[in-house]
Formats: sequence, structure tokens, C-alpha cells
Amino acid sequence: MESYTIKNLMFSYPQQERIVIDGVSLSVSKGEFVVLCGPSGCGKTTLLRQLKTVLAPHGNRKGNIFFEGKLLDELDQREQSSRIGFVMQSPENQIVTDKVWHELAFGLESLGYSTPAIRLRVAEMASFFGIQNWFYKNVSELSGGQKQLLNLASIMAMQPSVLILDEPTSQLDPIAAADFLSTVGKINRELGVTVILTEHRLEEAMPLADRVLVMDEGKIIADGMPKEVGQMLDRENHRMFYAMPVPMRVYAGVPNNLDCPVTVRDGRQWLDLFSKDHVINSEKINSHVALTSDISPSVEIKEAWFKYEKELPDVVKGASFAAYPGEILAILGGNGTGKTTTLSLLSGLNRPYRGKVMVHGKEISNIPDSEKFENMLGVLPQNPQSLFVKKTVELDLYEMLKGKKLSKDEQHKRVRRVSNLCGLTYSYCRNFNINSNTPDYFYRSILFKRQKILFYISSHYFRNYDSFCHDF
Amino acid sequence: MKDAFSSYHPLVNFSYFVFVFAFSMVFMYPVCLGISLVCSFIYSISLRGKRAVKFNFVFLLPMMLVTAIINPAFNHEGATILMYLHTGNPLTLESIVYGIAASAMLAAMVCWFSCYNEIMTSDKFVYLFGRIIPSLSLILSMALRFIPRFKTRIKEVSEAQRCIGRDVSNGSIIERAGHGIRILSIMITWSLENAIETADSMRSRGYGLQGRTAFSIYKFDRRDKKALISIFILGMFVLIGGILGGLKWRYFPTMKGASLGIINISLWLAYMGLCLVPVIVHREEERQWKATQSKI
Repeated sequence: MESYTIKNLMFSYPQQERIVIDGVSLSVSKGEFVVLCGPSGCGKTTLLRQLKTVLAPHGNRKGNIFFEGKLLDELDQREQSSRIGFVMQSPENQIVTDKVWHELAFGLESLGYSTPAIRLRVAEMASFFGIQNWFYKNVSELSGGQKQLLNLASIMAMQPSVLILDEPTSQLDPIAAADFLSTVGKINRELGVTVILTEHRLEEAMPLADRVLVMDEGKIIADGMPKEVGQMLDRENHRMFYAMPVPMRVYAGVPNNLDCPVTVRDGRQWLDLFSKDHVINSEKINSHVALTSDISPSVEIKEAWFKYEKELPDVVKGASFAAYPGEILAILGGNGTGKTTTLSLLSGLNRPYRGKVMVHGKEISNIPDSEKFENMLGVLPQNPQSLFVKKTVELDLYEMLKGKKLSKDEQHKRVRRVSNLCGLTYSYCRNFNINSNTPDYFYRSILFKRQKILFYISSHYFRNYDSFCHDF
Repeated sequence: MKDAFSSYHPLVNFSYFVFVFAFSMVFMYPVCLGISLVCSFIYSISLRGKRAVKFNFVFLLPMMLVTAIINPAFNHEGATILMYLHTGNPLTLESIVYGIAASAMLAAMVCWFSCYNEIMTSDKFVYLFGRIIPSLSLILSMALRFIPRFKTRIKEVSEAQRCIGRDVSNGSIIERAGHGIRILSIMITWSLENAIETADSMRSRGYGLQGRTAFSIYKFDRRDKKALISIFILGMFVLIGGILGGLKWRYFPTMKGASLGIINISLWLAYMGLCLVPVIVHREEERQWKATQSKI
């Protein structure tokens, strides 16, 4: 039986000519795990939201959607709420109440279940998701990964038959994201729930999927098993191919007739098989040569120690390193290992209680803020929304230059320079910045000031940071 | 070990505190004040341990002393004159005693409130008052979620703004004010934007359907019933005794109180019993636990 059957769906937003969903037809059978992927702005989210009418945006819609054989529009709100689960991007914003247990019960309360029935379901879900240890906690004490898991659990408590997830891991760190996706896999396997997932971390999502759909410009351009999709995209030389897992890309780079690997394990097996009748050229690529010490470092941190409060444990324990001009330095680590805190030391937001932070050979605490952030350092916050003021990107760009003694021409010139650098087209600039893709273009306001050093926090937020690094 | 009384139903916790607060404020009978003060000290120490000892003896006792001294310096009522102050005003026995009584009441109330804060957490409060107006409990719960979130976010925004030289700590006073407004503007836009997503999440989980119920994790057990009944019996006994004048005490012009008798003493004992309910409950559960352990 089919969970969803979509017939020739067309959709456009009101007062816009662009067709966001362009004649999509597909069906999803019960218990299937479908991954929907595609470049930003291809209509993934719009399509998913059409699958649950209470969340569907206003606009012109043509075509039919059937849910379990019935027309979706005829499904009443009660049934829709319980049978179609929808998890959104932001772990933070989806949570309504202040206590974990209350959040788990929220949907069931809405549906009007009695207290004993809710108690049973909540207890069941808490155990299934391993929430029992933080069941009584305040929501504000949870980590991002826990919050998203809570969102998932509170939807699963309503026992939906379909689970739709719209980029659920985009704001999680890699470890939490992997945990989250494996839980989604567990739901699919053990409860038989149909899963429709949009995801950018294909490396982890692909092995779980029964079927992969690739969307571009409102159309489904590829549909099939993960390995088939990879080959299809490769044949068409589509840009989405570069988002496929590494084993698939390696496979496509080598002419052969073997099966396409999806996971690393498959990839290794493929490589073994391949090397049996091929000679592998084991020439090594020289590793990047470290910059020599005759250039003075841009930023240097020497044995810095830091803790937030006297009684609390040290967060940064004797960190020392130097970054040289033109270098891209990455600080890696799991959650809570002190990455963000180290950056806050480098930017002078916090001060180490022992050790030194030097910028261009000067101690950072001796540089006044006005000089430091004018053309020395740029810091990109984790959440882009903390910088936006105006309603369009363009206005925001000009806002950054307000209060500077610059002529109109000079202002225009700078705005143009930055928008070109970041690949913002004119129409893009006119867009509202309330958009799921915000991170992609928000670094411009920092770039404005021609800083010498740029920090950014949690780059897992950025999808196209490759291009970013090149431009810079 | 966590306090056993706090694991009782919120209704039991709340009615206990209602009685204790009311009696501590109303009964000025010296013995009652003494009972209230001593019991509040005992309970707060059993709840919060060392912190409470420190607070009670370093802060509360000196505060009591000061209030006790201040009263006779300004209050000259009373018939028993002990001496004349150098201003010519009389120092009376009644005013000294009244000062001590008032300060004991004040200290007991502060101490009881510290216990209340420990026991009646926000979710218990939300639960109790959500019973009266169901939609209020959701609003309170959402508000309690919003406040800490807003606080952390304001810090985040102001740090981000500081990194582009636009925080309240940068520039002249007028610029600073401008930056402050800017931060506030970002915060409001942000909150509104996020509220859209929260609303979506609520709607997708069926908020707005007919017949919403209110779930709570609290269960009213037999032990809750027992505790509630004992609190009520003790409380009502003391209350009726108090209304009938069994705990009356007059400070001015001369001190006079209800005469000593079996009924009076039984009232004191009942009052003490009421105040010590949580401590007794805690000890009892501890004893029970130990007893079951030793049988094995």
C-alpha cells in the first residue's frame, strides 16, 4: 500500500511567477525510507510541506496528493496531526513547553487523551529514545542534539504512520547528527514507519535509504536506489553529484563495471575487488608544507587557560598555536571541547586568566574594540540571525556601512564588491532574509570591513564553505 | 538524600505551606512564634544542609537582633517602665518583648520562604494553578521556556554585535543607546520569526483541536491522602483553637495571654506537629528504607 501518491503537483507562491514545484509525480510505499536531496532552494521544503496541509504555505497549487489512498485535503486536522509527523530544522524553535515530560505529552494533550493513556505513551517513548535520564529536566538544560531528539520523540508519541523530516540535522554537530539519523533509521526498521527525509549529510543518510530522490528546480531529476542515483547523476554530470558520499564519488572517478558502493565498507570491498585486476598507482600527493617561521603570525595564542567562573572547571587548558597570513586553520573537536571558547579568546570577547593572545604581535587586550573589529578581526557568530536588522539582504548590507564616513559611490562600490565575492545576485539581494538558507550569504556583512583575519564558529552550518574559502 | 516531602503531590506541599505561612503571620503568641522559628530552622537545615546553617546563623540571627533592638528604641508603649533613655523616652519591658516577637516572626517567615522555594518548584506551581484555569498552565509553561531562551539569546546577539563594533559597550553615549535599540530590534525580529516556527510545530501537533486535556506527571497516592488529611486535621485544630482565643496574646499596655491549660498545650503540640510534618515524613521514610534493607 502507498503512504503517499502525488500526481502531477505544481506549486507557486502568490505573486511570484517562478514555479517552485514543477509537475512532481511520485509514490511512496508504506515502510519505505526515502531521502530527498537537492541544492538549496530547489523546492524540497515546499514539497514536504505540501504533504501536511496544516503546514502548507499559501499559493497556487495544482495536482493531487493522496494519503493512504484518500485525498489529503479530505483528511481532518485531528487525523492529520496524529498520523503525519513532521520534524523541522530548528531544534530550539519547535519546543513549546519548559519541561521535557510536558513536551513529550504536548501532542497527546492536544488530541485529548486521558492522563493514564498519556502516561503510558510518554513512558514508552522516553524509553525508546533513551530520554529517561533527562525526563524531568528543563528544556533549556539540554544540548542541541537532545533537543532535536526530544522533538522527534514528542512527535513519535502520537504514533504517526508517516514521519517527514525537513533537514533535521542542519543545526546539529556531526556526532549528534549521526546519532539522530541512526535513531530515525531505528524508527523505520523497528516500528515500520514510512520516513521521508531531506538531508545534506548524505554520507550518513544514504546508507539508511531504500530510495533516493534528487530534486532540482522543482523537478525530480533522479529516483532510485542510492547506488543507481549516484550513477545517474554522474552520467548527467549534475552538480548534486558532488554531495554524494565519498565512496560513490571515488567509484565514479574510475572507469569500471563493478557495483556502486554506498558506505565506506562497500567502498573498501569495491577497492579490493578492483585492485585484483588493475594496477593501482600508489603515487603520494605531497602534503601541504607548513609555512616557514620567517613570516610573523597573524594570530598567536600562547598557553592560554580559561574558565567561565572561579569554581567551574577549565574550558581551555593551555592552548597554544599560531595562524599565519593566508592560512586556513581549522579547529576540530566534539561538542563542549572548547572550540567556541577558544575563538572567543582569540577575538578578545573573553580573556584568558593565564597565557597570552597576540594579534599582529600586539596583545589583544591592549587593542581597543573600535580598532580591533574595524579592519583587523571579523567574527562570524554561530547564528546568522544575530546580525540581521533590516528586512532585505541589500538593506542589511547598507546598514553595515551606516555611520562610516564614506561617500555614496564608495558605499555602492563596497556593497557590489562583497555581493560579487559571495555570489549574491541582484535579485537575491532583494529577497527577504527570512529564509532557510540564511547562512549561505550572511558572511558578507563581516567581509565588508576588509578584515585581515576571519574567524567563524561551527562551520558545519555552512554548506558551501569550499567556495567561501577560495574567494577569501 | 532528596527530601521525601518534595516527592509528595503538589497539593500536599502547597496546603502545608499555606497553613504554615498563615499561622506564622497571624499567631503572635510567644510559644507559637518560638515553635515556628525553631521548626523553620530545623526544616531548612534538613533541606539545604550547610548552606542553610550558614544563612540562618550568619544572616538571619543578626537580622533578628537588629530588629529586636530597633523596636524599643522607637516604640515606647507599655506599662512596665524599666528606665528612661537619654532622649527622655521610657524603655518598656513590653516594647522589648514585642521587638523580639516581631523579629522572630520575620526570621521565621524568611526561613519558611527559603523552604518553599526549595519544595514548590515552578512546574508544581504551574500544575496547581493550571488546574483552575487549564490554558493558563500552558501559557505559564511557555513563558518559563521563553525567559531563559531570551536571556541566552540576548547575550549571543550582543556578542555578535560587539564583534562588528556595535555593542552597548562601544562608542559615545548616544551611539551606545542606538546600539542598544538595534540589539533590541534584532531580538524582537528574531523572537517573532522563531514564534512562527513554534506555531507551526504546535499546529502540526494538533494544537487548537477540540477537547484538549492537561497531562501531569503527579499522581495522588494513598500516602498523599494520608499526609493531606493529617495536615488538614492538625491545621484545622490549630485554626479553630486560635479563633476561639486559645492562642491569644496581648502585648500592650501590659502583657497578657490565654491561660495555661491542657487545651493550650495541645494546641501548641498540634502546631509543632504541623510545622514538623515534612521532617517527620522524611525521617519516617528514611527509617522505613533502613528497615527494609536490614530484613534482607
